Amino acid sequence: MSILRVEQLSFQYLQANRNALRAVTCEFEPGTVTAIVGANGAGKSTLCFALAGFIPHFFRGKLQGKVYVNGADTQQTPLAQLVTQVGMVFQNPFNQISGAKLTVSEEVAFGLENLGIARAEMETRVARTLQLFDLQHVAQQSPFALSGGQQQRLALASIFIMEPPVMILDEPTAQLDPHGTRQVMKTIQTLAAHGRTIVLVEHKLEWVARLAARVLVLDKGALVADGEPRAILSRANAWGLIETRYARAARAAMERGLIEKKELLPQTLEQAKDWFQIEG
Amino acid sequence: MSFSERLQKDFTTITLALIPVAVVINIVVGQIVATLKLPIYVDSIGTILVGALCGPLPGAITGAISNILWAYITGQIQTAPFALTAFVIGLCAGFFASKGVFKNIAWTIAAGLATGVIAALVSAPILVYVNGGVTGTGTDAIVAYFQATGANLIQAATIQGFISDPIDKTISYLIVWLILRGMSKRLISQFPRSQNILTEESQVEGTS
Amino acid sequence: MNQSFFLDRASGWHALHPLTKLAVALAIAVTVFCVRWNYISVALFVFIILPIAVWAKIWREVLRTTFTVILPLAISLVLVQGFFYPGATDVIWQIGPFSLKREGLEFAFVTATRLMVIAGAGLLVVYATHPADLARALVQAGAPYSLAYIIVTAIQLLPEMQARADGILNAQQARGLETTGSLRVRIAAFVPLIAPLVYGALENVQERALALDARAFRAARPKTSWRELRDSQAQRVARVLLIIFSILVVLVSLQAALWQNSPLVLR
Repeated sequence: MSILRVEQLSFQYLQANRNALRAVTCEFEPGTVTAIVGANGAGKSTLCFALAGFIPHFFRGKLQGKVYVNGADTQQTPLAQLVTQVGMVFQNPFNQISGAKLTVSEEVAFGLENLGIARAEMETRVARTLQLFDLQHVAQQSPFALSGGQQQRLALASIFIMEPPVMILDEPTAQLDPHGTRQVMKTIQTLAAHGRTIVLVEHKLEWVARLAARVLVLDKGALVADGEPRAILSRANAWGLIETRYARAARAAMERGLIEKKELLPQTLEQAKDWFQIEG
Repeated sequence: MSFSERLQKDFTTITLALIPVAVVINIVVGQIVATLKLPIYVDSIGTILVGALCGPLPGAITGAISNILWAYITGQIQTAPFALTAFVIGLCAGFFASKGVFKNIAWTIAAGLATGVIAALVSAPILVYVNGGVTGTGTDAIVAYFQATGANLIQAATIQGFISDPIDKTISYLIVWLILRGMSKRLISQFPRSQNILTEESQVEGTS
Repeated sequence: MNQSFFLDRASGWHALHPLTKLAVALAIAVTVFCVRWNYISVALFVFIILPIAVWAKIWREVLRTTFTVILPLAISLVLVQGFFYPGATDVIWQIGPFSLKREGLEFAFVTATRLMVIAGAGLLVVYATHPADLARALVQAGAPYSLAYIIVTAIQLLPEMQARADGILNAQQARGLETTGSLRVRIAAFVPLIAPLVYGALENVQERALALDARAFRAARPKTSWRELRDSQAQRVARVLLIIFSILVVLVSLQAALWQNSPLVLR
């Protein structure tokens, strides 16, 4: 059974004159990594907010359709209960620091405090989580003193520790440099290896190709494509997305007639080696 | 709507996220004004903003905490009692905003003047009872002048307040009016008292 | 500017529960306002505040800050009230048309020393208590959790925002913005300085709120705490006694005022 189910979901923000989402229907299987791509304003963040329950519990507006988390209707479930089922990580690492905590350890424990987890249990979970997210060496530092990449790993850890089976990641590397991006992407791979269901909004399609087993494309609020990453990303231009360097190189090669035209373009280094028939 | 229901509605998560930011805005803008050596304080912009967007009590709490934090970080513990004035300024801003004053610049100015008068009336007894009527700044000359011409302590302190507070609060209200004009309607609509600022039919382009 | 005034030193005073320290400061503040004796402030400062400050190893900072903060007020008090105290008649010194009067000086002395005690007592708490511990203690005493959140978050965001303000100031100056000179020039500089700062901060508020909700900030169940405060039975008793003492001082002074059939006026 799917862990997340979206049925005919439409949403219009208060003070907006058009729908941010239009009749979106999709499902997510447990333990999978799904990427959502689309141009700016396509409704990616809005879909994330709906999956995590922030629509309708945080954002005001006009909602039609349903979202089910483990069979429970998000409209009928309080947000504080939903967040233990679906965790969400946002773009800006700095904004996700609660501010109320002085050290990285305390910051990671913040969600557990709010859930009323006993002190002893908190200590075990914090130690384990810091280890997993490679933050143990900064445990006693101020969250504000960390680098962007570290802060975003802290944000991931702070949600992970609440043990939601699903984690929604809305462009978690948008504000990071390449080094920070690599750190965070590796962490996401770890999460997937731990069996979390992951929904990732990401502009960098190369990472989408490397991480996701499935890609959804949103365009002007509608779900316009849903399938295997390589097939979808080969048509990235059609939705105004920036293709990977491998796809660009392949397209250039095809246009110059160096290689015969193919439907599927390479999206990762491995695929490119294969596509261009480079040995080694 | 009952008082406790109103409180529940005003203290949403976005209100709680805004208050510390507004406290910091109060302090940092106050410091910038001091750096520029302007002859005003303008240290309650955050307070008025929270009053307008979230209601009187959130505004009042923003004001009181700003004042106490200011006393804390500067070591000027004796300024902490003026948290009461800041509390009342937040209440006033919330109250006037709920009457729609921020929808119109003329009403904004009127509300600023009224808040200044009320602030002066609240400050004067504190100034006299805690500080002996002086602030340790240039405005003490006004107090000296009025005492020399026959006013008692509380009269002199109140007149001093009437001279400085209404101008200061009017400027602050005008700055908040400008800030609200510049905020996106999408963002304003997320705050509990957005109807204080927005008119029902106003619509803007939506993005995700 | 110095941010958090907390001075992390090993002392018995530091180790006390924040509420105990607050209760001591409260008792001192109540006493100084209620006791009608000109030298009560000096006595409290010398015999209570200074010994505690020495015990807490913070006496240098307490003295320095108290005096730098109170000095301008004391000067103003002597100038304004020494010369222009309403109803004062006992002239000590004549200088041109102005005369320094005994009643005014007495009022200035009492007020200035009282402010000194308020500042000193407050600094005993501020210098020896981590703000986060103070916030935690307030929650323990029944204050709403959101109050602690607001206080600690504001303290931590302040240096971040000040750094941003400095950045904006430097950037605007680099673009030729004048921040010194005539009043007109300085007023013109105000908007370009605060607009980016305020809008930047406001834009972040929504995401900050979402991130809080994502961590069950508003969950209805009782919260637990990672940070723990040391407390003891003796301190709990001491706090109750200090509060009873403060209430008694207020009641007795009210009674004395009524007995003399005088309204509660300033001395």
